[in-house]
Amino acid sequence: MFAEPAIGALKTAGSIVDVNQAPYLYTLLNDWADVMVLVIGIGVGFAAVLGTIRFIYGWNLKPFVYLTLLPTLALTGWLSTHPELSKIIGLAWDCGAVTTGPVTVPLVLSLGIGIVASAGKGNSSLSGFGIVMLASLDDIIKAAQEIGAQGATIYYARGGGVRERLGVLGLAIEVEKEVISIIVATNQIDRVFEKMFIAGKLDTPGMGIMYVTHLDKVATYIPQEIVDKLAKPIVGNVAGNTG
Amino acid sequence: MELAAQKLITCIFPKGIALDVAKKLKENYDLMSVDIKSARGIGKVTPLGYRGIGSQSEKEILTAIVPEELSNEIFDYIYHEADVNRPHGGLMYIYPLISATRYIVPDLPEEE
Repeated sequence: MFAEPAIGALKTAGSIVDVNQAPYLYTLLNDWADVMVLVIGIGVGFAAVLGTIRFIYGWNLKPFVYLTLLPTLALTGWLSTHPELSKIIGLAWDCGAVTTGPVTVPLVLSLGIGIVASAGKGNSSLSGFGIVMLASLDDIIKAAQEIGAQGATIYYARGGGVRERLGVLGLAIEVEKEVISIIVATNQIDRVFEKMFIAGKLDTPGMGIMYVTHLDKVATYIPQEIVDKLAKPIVGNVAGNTG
Repeated sequence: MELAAQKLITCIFPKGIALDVAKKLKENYDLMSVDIKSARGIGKVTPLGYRGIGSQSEKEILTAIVPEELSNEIFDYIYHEADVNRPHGGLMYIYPLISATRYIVPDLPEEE
């Protein structure tokens, strides 16, 4: 944290503060500078841990924003009513700016990218699509793979409809969507559909929709050994044979 | 507005292929309704899985609305142009549309 240029700038600012005009500000920037930097470091670390846990469990970002921003704004309002304490409001918000510094940003970004990358979610074929909330994605894909789906393709989208009709309350509805596309064989449809439906909690309002459509033709690479295996006749008793 | 029998071809390619295919579709078949989206693929075997990067890889989704009478020909054309018949070459499928508008570029007179 001491390597962050913004912290160094705060220390320089402390040297030009008049102790008679802003005693609390002077004390924080001079006598308690190390303690203040330590508290900033703990705060940034705590935020990074919370962000990491959020990525892992797929929690929504909005509750975090509401639970941190609203008390902060309330505290700012209360501080502004005290003539001596109001002088440290600028320092308090500037300390938050340290998270956008040239040292902290690369560290936090790479941490986020690493966490997301490692932990983040006959007959004719039928394709299943799902448009779901961000948090449910990994559970749905895992459920589909457990039941036999080979893979999934995911792309991002923006949803509209209910949100626009709710006015201000629409802010509580997540706009970002993820669309999952899975191809399954005809005889797997019901099982995969049901598993994905349950895993994604799609019976809950706002969790998304899912639909199945018939495909005329599918083409992909099939290894030659599998083609040869499929071409071989099945040896043994077949149900219905009497011989 | 013309509503003709059309089909939707959807192709999931590795990153970097879709744009070339889209250009060739425009040049050779005069297709105007070709879209490309970025996506990520999750599977049991991915190109970089041996590096421990995980089961995800970057993909591009190309969708094209094509006339029904040309659907098989265009499907085969894309299959060969994108070289889908190789490991991790991608996946493509086609299904019919109940109705879709066909956009035709208007015939504009040459400027003198």
